[in-house]
Amino acid sequence: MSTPRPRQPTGARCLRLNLLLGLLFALLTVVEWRLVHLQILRHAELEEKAEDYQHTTRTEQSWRGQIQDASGRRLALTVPVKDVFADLSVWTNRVELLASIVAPLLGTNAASLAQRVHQSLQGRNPPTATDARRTSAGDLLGKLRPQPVGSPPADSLVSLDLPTAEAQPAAVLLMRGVAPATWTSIQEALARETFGLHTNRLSSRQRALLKSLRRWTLFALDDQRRYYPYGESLAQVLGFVGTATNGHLLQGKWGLEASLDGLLAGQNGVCASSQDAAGNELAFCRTTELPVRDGARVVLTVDLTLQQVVEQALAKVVARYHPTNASCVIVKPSTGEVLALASLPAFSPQLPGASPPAGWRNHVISDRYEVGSVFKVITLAAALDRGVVTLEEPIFCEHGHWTYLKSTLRDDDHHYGYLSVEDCLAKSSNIGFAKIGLRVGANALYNSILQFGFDRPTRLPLPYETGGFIRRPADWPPTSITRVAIGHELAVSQLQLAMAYAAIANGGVLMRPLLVKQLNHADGSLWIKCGPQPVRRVVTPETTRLVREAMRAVVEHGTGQLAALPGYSVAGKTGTAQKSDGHRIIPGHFYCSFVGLVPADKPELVIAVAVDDPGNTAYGGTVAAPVFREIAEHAVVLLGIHPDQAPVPSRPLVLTRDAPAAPSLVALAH
Amino acid sequence: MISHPFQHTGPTSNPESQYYHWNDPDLAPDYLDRGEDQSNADGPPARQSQRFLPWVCVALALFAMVVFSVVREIQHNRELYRMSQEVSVAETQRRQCLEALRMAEAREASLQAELQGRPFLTRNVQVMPANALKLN
Repeated sequence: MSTPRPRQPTGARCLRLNLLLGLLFALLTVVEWRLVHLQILRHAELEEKAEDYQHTTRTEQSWRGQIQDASGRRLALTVPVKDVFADLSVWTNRVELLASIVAPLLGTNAASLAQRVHQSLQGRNPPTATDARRTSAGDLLGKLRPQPVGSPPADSLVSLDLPTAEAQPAAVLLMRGVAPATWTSIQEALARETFGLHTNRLSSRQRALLKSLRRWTLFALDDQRRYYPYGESLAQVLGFVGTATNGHLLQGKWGLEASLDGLLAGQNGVCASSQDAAGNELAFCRTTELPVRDGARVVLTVDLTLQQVVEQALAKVVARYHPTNASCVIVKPSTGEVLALASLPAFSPQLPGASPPAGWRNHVISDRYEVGSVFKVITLAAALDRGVVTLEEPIFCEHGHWTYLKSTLRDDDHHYGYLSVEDCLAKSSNIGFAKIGLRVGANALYNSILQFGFDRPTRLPLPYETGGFIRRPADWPPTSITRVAIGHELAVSQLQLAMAYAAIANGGVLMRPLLVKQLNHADGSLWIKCGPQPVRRVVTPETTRLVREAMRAVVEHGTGQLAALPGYSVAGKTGTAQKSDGHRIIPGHFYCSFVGLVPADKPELVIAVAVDDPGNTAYGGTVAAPVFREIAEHAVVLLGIHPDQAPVPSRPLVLTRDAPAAPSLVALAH
Repeated sequence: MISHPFQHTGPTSNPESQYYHWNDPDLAPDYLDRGEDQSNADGPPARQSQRFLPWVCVALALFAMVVFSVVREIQHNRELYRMSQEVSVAETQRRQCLEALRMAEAREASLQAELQGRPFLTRNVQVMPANALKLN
């Protein structure tokens, strides 16, 4: 039987209940006030903080596209590398210890490494925990990674400007361009490192420290490095990359790398997401995502084997004559495809800073010269097209000395009397062509020059192409017609000249030079195919046939006999122009050139060779024509161009192992 | 029928009279003033418990639903987190594979360049048999 509880007075119970209720009410009021404070009064501020903590925007760097030759050989490609950083928050107070551990892994000197970290620590305000880990790769690289032109070797300690104190660097760059495999081995070595701690009896705090040291003593960010496996080959065309200012890791600075930078660079991917407390991305929180698009693969019309043949031939002439520069361009006249484009001296695109900038210059497109006699072909085409002369028509060449309007014109050491127009070209008579120019007339000659495109760039996708220089006929002094007709008082680029000859080889249709054959997606599938682009018809097919016939005479019995190629008919023209400083001629300095077509009847190649200032005893026919022959005899084999003349006594031909024209050699052998 | 625990179930069905019944202090039960156990004043205890039981069940069901939702949400988040980790691992592996592929491409290009750079071979094509042109 239970004893009844002693009952309390009702008033006391009510008081206690009221107190309890009051307390609860007060507590709830405090909680409510705090909620109002957090959710309403500080809402914006706290929301911003939360977003800073949670939200992360990750930039995925696109992969720079390759540049390939016509056969698919990779001329420029991108290699993955790592930039290795030290997290300063981990290094504080233990710089010497960590430097002694890390230096052997990086293959550097511990003292210099420690000094670098010390310098960074001195320039740093109070440590900011693990900011470096949270900083996106792009931001960190942007702050810490000035990339001078001409990347230093991968195994060197990078010399970079230390960030200022305002930047508060959380990390310092120790080494750039570390191979991924090397970085993996460094990571493995660090994971085994004890950092002077006795691992068998560690407190929880020491364990956390060891874990942090192993993870953050060094960390790496992805980087890219451009690799040019063929060294100096096609260097001026390919160009090079340098410090990026467009959000990418690499940016083209010269050549195709610069002019096609937008295509090669691709588009960076952007991924907005959230992260947990450890900084790991929560993939399911991805809100907006822009997929990364890797850069396009650019396939050139250039044949690397032919390019190397050209470069070797030019190297020989440079070694022999020591000119200021030597250059050559090979064009396929029917399509305008540029099969080779070389200029010496060259440079290494891998280390452009190691060469003088003069070597970067693409003389084929950037230089314009008074080309001299090679321009007579244009005058002849204009004259034949207008019917003012015929090839057989005799022209009196004044025995090598002619005064016109008190201005004397000479044929060097030649005293020709009457020469046919064809022979005027074959013997390269200045007087003969001055008279032909007078027959054509200033305006007609000027119009023909414009028709051949000498007044504007050819629009090759390369930077710094010159547009040539030609004055209007109204500005010509009375004697100018006799000078322009022989390639003086105007300046053209070697590429313009080659394309004009290509028009003559192509039945009179001027083509736009084609350097990019096609653009492929990053996976190799075709994106854009670049076809031949005719510009305009400049002369009739019959005129071109006659001009080629006259040009053939140049090689057969004229000034270009050293360009003759056994088994093939060759049409061409030599040029030896005295250089001027803009006001007067510089004695003893010449610009020697030869432009030839092979085969002469149905030309498949136009080869333009120029040697700038090879010495005072040199001529286009003696310096440039042999280079043409050397290049042409390889080119016809490599490209499978069949001989069009009777077989000639055997002479050794030089082939590369991967000559793509092997089947045609069978025909040649038979 | 479930009766409301605070609704009077006496003989009066007029709502107005019920109102006055509950709000008139004179009509309040005597045990409130006397401080007696109410169970003795308004029927047996078992019946009182039965009156509250459905509401307790409803409250428990609601509570269970909330707990279930919270647990399910936690489990769902854990699953998402696990999948995020898998995505991260897969992306890392993909990146590493691409790195390896690109390094292999670079090595291949380097080897090809080395082959291309070898000295030229001099041959006399006119005395060379056709089948000798198959280069291995």
